[in-house]
Amino acid sequence: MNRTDNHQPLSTHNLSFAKAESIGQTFVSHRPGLNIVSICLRNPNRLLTPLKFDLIDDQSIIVRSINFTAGNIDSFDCTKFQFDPIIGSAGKSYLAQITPILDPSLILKDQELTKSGIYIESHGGGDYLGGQALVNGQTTDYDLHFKTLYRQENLAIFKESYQDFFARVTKDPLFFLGFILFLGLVIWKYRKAK
Amino acid sequence: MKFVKELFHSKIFLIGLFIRLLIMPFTAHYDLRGINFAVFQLPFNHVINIYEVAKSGPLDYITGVNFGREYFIYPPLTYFTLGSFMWIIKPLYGSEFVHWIQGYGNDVLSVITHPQVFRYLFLMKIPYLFFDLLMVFGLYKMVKTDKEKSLILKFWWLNPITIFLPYIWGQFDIIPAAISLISVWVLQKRPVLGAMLLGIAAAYKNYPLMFLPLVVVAIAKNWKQGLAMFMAGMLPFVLTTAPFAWHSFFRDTVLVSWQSQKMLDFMIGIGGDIGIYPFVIAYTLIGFWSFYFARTRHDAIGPIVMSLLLYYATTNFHQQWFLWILPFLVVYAVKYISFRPLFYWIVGLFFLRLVSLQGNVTTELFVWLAPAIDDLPKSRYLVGMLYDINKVRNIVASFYFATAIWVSGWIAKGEAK
Repeated sequence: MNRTDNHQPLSTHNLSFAKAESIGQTFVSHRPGLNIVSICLRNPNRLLTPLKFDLIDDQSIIVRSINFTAGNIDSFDCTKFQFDPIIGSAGKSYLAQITPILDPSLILKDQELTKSGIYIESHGGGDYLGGQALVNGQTTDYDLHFKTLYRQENLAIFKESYQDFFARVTKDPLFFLGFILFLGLVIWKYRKAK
Repeated sequence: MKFVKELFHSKIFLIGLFIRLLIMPFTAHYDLRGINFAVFQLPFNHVINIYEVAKSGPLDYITGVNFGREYFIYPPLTYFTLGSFMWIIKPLYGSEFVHWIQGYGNDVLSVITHPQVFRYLFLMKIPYLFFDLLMVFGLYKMVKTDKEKSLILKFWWLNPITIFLPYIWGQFDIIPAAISLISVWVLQKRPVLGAMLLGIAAAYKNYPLMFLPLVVVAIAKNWKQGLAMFMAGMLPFVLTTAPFAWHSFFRDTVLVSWQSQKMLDFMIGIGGDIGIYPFVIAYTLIGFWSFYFARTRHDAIGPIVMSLLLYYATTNFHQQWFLWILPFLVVYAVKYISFRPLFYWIVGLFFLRLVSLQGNVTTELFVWLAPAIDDLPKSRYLVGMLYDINKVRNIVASFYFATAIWVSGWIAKGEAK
């Protein structure tokens, strides 16, 4: 199952590709198995511009790359970039970056038109503390509206979940004692009822 | 007391109570925490004007992400009622509750996995049990025989919707719904008092005001009594909201909120800049029907059911609003065997709409049990794998429209006498 690691859900600002060669977000992966980065791209003009998603590690090495077109952008939801899980991702910093691939045969003005309608939702609140948005490789005061997920085996999730649940129950014994008494009382009344 | 004694001797009641108690600590929508983020201000911070806090007070991160500043958009009586319940059981919440309800910055996980979170979810839903019992009391008063009372328990107390909305979701619509039903029972014998109760229900959520003109037309014997009913119906709403009417946040988000005007989103253009509202057309027709037909039968339920069904049919309504109509449908299902297939259909339709909604209202409600549940594929995604999700939503909305027309016809024909 894919589990959420980072989630910066707020959106108050748009970072446009009109004057940008690339837009990205740095983040820290807290878990091993990083396999999805979700970014809220928007393409209201339904352009078909070719784009490239790169996941770059802290040594500036591109570790994952996905080519797609603006036609793949989901206008209602965010766009998920899924790749083979990175086993050793825990505790490492990454840059997720989107770059329009411009057609060299087009003159400069036409090139601008092919990307100017595409933008990414972002937020200026500084809620996300593990990184920030980058435009043309330069840091900004924004965070992208983004999410990262990691791959975890179902059995491991189940084990972690029930262990965590019972641990929490034992941390509030007074409440659960009263709760079980309540339920017991109802069962007792049920046995006596017609 | 006799009523409570009678209930505790019923196996159906005890099964329903067991299910409710069992669920209460483990599930909730963020709505429950959002509303109680406002409510806790009364018993813990002694705040009287919650709208000032909502306008400019500090905002919890989760509440901010889910609702923004409009996390409390309800009339003041909701705040004071839920706040009073919280005041009474305040010692049970413990000292850590204040920190939990105000959140831990953007550390959402600490809110979900807090060691006392199950206690908080349970306690925040306790007022709903009280009004749920009030609802059963009102429903009992609408029927005569023991067999009908037994059916009331089956159709209301064991109804998956009445368990889901207040106890799994954590919505407080049970409060105005219960008082609205009691008001209809009282209307039959004491119309002015009944109208006043309807006004009290509207002081929790504005929607019962929509019924007031219809029941006045249907029940009042003459224009003098009609005027008295109308005034009595408006009085509780005016009295409870007037002290806050000067506050801009209250006016903008409670009195004329976008949610209370959703029925005007659906408009058919007739040329130029002019359009007609299907809901207003339907409401006007129900008004005429109430005047010419419902008043001869002294029927208050018919106009209410018709107006709510046509409201659901012409509005992109919030799922929890469906609880408004349910008690009246239960009365029909108990009294008229011919209505029961329609009743089952409407209950099924509720869940069909639920699984296709955009909002987080299915698996996400169980996230308190284990955070991993939040990462499960959403029901709308699974439905979308079977068929285009937008078309599914449109089909369900069309089902609602057809059902509203059919049931309205069933009532208008005089099947529910």
